[in-house]
Amino acid sequence: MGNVSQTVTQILGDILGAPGDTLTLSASTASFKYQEMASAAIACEKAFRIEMEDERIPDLRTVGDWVNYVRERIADRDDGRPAPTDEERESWYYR
Amino acid sequence: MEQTIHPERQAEREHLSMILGLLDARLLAARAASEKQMAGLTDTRRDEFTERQEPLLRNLWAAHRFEDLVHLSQEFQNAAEEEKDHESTLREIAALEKMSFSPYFARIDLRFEEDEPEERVYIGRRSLWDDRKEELLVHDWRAPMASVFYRFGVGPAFYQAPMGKITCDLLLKRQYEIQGRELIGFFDADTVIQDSFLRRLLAQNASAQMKSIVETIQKDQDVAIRDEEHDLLMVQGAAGSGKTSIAMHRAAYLMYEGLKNPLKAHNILILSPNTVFEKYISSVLPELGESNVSTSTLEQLLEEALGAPVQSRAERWETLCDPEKQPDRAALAFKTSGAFMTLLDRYAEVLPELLPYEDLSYGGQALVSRQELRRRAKDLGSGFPLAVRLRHLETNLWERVHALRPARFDELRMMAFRLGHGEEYARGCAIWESGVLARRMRRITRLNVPRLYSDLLHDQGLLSRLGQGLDIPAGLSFAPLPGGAVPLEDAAAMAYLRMKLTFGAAQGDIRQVVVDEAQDYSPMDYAVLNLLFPKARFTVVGDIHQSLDRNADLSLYEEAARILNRKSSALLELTKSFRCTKEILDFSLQFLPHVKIDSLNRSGDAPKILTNELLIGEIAACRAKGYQSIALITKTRRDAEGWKEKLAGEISLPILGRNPELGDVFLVPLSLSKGLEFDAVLLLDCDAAHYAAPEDRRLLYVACTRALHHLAVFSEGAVSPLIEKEALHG
Repeated sequence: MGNVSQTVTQILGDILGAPGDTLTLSASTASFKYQEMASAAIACEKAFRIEMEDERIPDLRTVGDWVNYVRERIADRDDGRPAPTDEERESWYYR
Repeated sequence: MEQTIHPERQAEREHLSMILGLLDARLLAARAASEKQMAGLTDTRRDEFTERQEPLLRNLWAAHRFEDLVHLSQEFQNAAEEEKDHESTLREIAALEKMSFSPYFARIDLRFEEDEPEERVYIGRRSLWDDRKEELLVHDWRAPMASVFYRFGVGPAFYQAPMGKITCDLLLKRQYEIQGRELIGFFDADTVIQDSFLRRLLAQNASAQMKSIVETIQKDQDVAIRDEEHDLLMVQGAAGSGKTSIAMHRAAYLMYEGLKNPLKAHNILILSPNTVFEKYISSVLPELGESNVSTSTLEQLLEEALGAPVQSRAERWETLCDPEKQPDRAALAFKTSGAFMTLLDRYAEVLPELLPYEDLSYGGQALVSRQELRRRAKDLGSGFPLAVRLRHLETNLWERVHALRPARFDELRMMAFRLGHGEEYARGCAIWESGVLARRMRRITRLNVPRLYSDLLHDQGLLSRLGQGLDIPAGLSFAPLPGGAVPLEDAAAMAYLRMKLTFGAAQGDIRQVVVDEAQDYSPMDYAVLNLLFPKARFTVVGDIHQSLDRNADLSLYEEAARILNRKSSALLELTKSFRCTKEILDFSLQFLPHVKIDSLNRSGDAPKILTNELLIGEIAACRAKGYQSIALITKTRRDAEGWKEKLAGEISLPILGRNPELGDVFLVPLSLSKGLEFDAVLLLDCDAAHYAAPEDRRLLYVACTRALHHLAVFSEGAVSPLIEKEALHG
């Protein structure tokens, strides 16, 4: 599966107007307005096929918080097993 | 040592050189093994990064052949195992090196059956096995058989072996002094003479790093060290009675026992009053043959429990001594008392009544009423701590919200479209709305312990309601808590309250807790320890006469026993002091005349009272006598800094603080000197301005009893009125 940290950082970087590769996990997202939180949440939900709970989103104050929460939701969705990407599935199943 | 040549001197020398020869051979073999492992290790490490493997590593997920992956994982495994072997060889080398310095310190001759020859048992810090002869040449001091050495005089004896009680005749008890591979002397000793051996040892300048270690364990100390019967063992020991060494030996002994039982080294925690002591312990314990004992301080435990910085004991001591920052002693005494603990218990019980309940709604619909919240907080699975119940309640409420959410989101989306906005706008509203609800809910469900604690202290009505029937001093009021580090007494009370309200802080894997300087722990501190280590057995050692900040007496142990509430407990009193000379002890006892201490009658120089200008000369005199640790003790750290500056032109003096590895002369604030011993003590500022109040008597007692051989007190002008006893005036 795609790298969660990279993808989330990319999404947040687009909103913050900073290139994803310049953002560290401790970079702050506290400046997000509600609508920006919404954009970020929707993008993450689409990218990872998860659902983020509205009440948790205002608590996410750094890039690291977002990454951790996305990971938590992925784990909840998959009952602890990360879903393989299509490429991974191919490489293991059809070799 | 012995004036006449002992008939067995030659035989003992030969025995020592035989043992040393064997150790040297072992050491040689171990070093060779280490070098070989080292060579193998570098090969493996190099291999890991060869070009052959690098692509394999990079393409781990693309490595299609199963064998490739298996091969790779084996390579890693080999490297890890070789590394482990190598580490254990290095440990072996270190142990052998230490052992060849002084391979054993005692011998006992035992006869098990009338007509059998006696068995010679050499005792050392570690055991030494001879592969060729298949016999144990040196027995570990913690082995059951070695206990005979500590427990019995010449005559009938016994010990507890795994197969049961074994009786024997103790024919000879011999103690050696071996230093740097040289037999300096030996001494046949019955228990009575053991102390004189000790006296001789001390007369020869014991180093500050607790020289007494294994060689000088007395019979009653040994009982304390090996006690396995009691879940709570308390030792009240006079200054210089070796109680600190008991704490360390007991930890080592318990770790040794742990080799047989599932008890592991990391299940033992030593609580030491300051970091000086902690470093000191960690440098002494490996000498006893074990490592990995975990040491901590109460402050560190409280910081972990609270997740906030806590004032250190040394800092508290500085505030207590600072005339400008005089804390309210009545408030301080109450906050550390058993009565306050009961009050906090009651507070935790009534807290469900007191939370800031309010009606909660979501999307314009009532979610839950304040009455329902109150009712549910009170009933919900009342076996659980309040914080857990409230979290459960919160989860329940969010489940209700989640059920309402799709319909609510439809409404928000409709609204957004009507206003000409898209989905993101609607979602933003939803997030905002949920965020507001979350904040309101958490005001009720998340317990803010520091705030609850502060609320209690400043609510006179609540205090008097909860304090009914408790011993609360009249007119008690509390200053607001300062910002920054939490004062130690508040930290303990807050940690106690937090543990009463939540789960999670208890460390059930700690099976043994050794508390040193027990007199510094308040009832509240013991209550915290009890909640933190519910499954641990406790060893508590201290001296009530050495409490710096309050008037402790023997009831301290009763109270500790009541609070720790273990199945069986015992209190052992050690009154024999072998640290100081008779003169130093007599001088020190003038401050606390009621204290009963038996000295060993070791004679030395009379303590001196000198003026400040003689200080530099006195230091030089101490150095000339060959003293290895000369401590200049001050009342506070601030005083120590003043002296450091004042003497900077003449002598550079480090202050004993977080770094105990110092030269031979150093400054030590009084609160940090506890538990330590020095060849010479020069007590500074011994005037009426520093020591005049009745409670200062304890301070002088503590400072003076740190000295092994030499004591001088200094003052500018008139000496403290607490000093009445004759001493040599300079």
